[in-house]
Amino acid sequence: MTNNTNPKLIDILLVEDNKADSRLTREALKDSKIKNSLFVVEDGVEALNFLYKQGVHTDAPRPDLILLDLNLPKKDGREVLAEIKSDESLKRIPVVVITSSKAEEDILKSYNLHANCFITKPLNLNQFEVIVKSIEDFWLTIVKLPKE
Amino acid sequence: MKKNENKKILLIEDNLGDARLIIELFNEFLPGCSIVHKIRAEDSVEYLLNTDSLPNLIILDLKLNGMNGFECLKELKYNRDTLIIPIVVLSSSAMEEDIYKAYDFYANCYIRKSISLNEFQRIINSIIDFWFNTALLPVK
Repeated sequence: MTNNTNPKLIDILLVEDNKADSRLTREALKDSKIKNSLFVVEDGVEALNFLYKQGVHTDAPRPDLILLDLNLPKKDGREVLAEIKSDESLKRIPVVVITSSKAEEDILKSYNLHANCFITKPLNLNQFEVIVKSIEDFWLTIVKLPKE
Repeated sequence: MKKNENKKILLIEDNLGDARLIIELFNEFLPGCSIVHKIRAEDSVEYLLNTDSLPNLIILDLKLNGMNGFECLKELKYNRDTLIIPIVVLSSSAMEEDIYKAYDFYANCYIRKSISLNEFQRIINSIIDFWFNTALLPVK
């Protein structure tokens, strides 16, 4: 059994300040077999506001999956990751780090902070789509996500 | 170096039938990789704390004799030397509570075993494809 049979809409939070990347992600996820809605916030402070339903995000859903860039304005992705993974109410939400960095230090740091996985953004557009499809394929159809 | 020779997987699984199938599928889809199989979580923890070549990925069953999968997760994910290794929980349980608990103990992902052989193949293939071709792993 996979999530294929699950009619529930999967809510995905994308934390990404690069508008081209968030647009590409949205387009790649739009054709997904698994119904999903993508919410985009552009900095680390907004990401935590979304998760804690603060400010303009009082009606925000609890995301089933978080796609997190590391280099973000206002609050760095590493700090956001650390906060999510040390918060009892949030830590079970899987966080996929997706960043342009390939630095060994960032990979180690992310896994040390309990990122669920670390992915480097490819520069090539077609490859970018392949990566998003691969995330979709694995995290939305093979993996069992925590429902709350 | 042969293809995949540097890829090392630790499988913690006490069902010998499942273990045999998983090992066969890894050998098929990731030829040349090395798989260390442990039946008991206690032995796995001891192995990891003493080896000088950590695995790139751990596949962990939950229902184990002695130390169970949750306790094993806790041992490995709260230890500075082992916490970076991604752990894929592969369990027959579909209970929400087990899924929550695994993620709360920092399992990197939770996958339910399938009783269908085709589906089991698809799952192992996806695990290999995602973790070895898409994600970047901390242990080289």
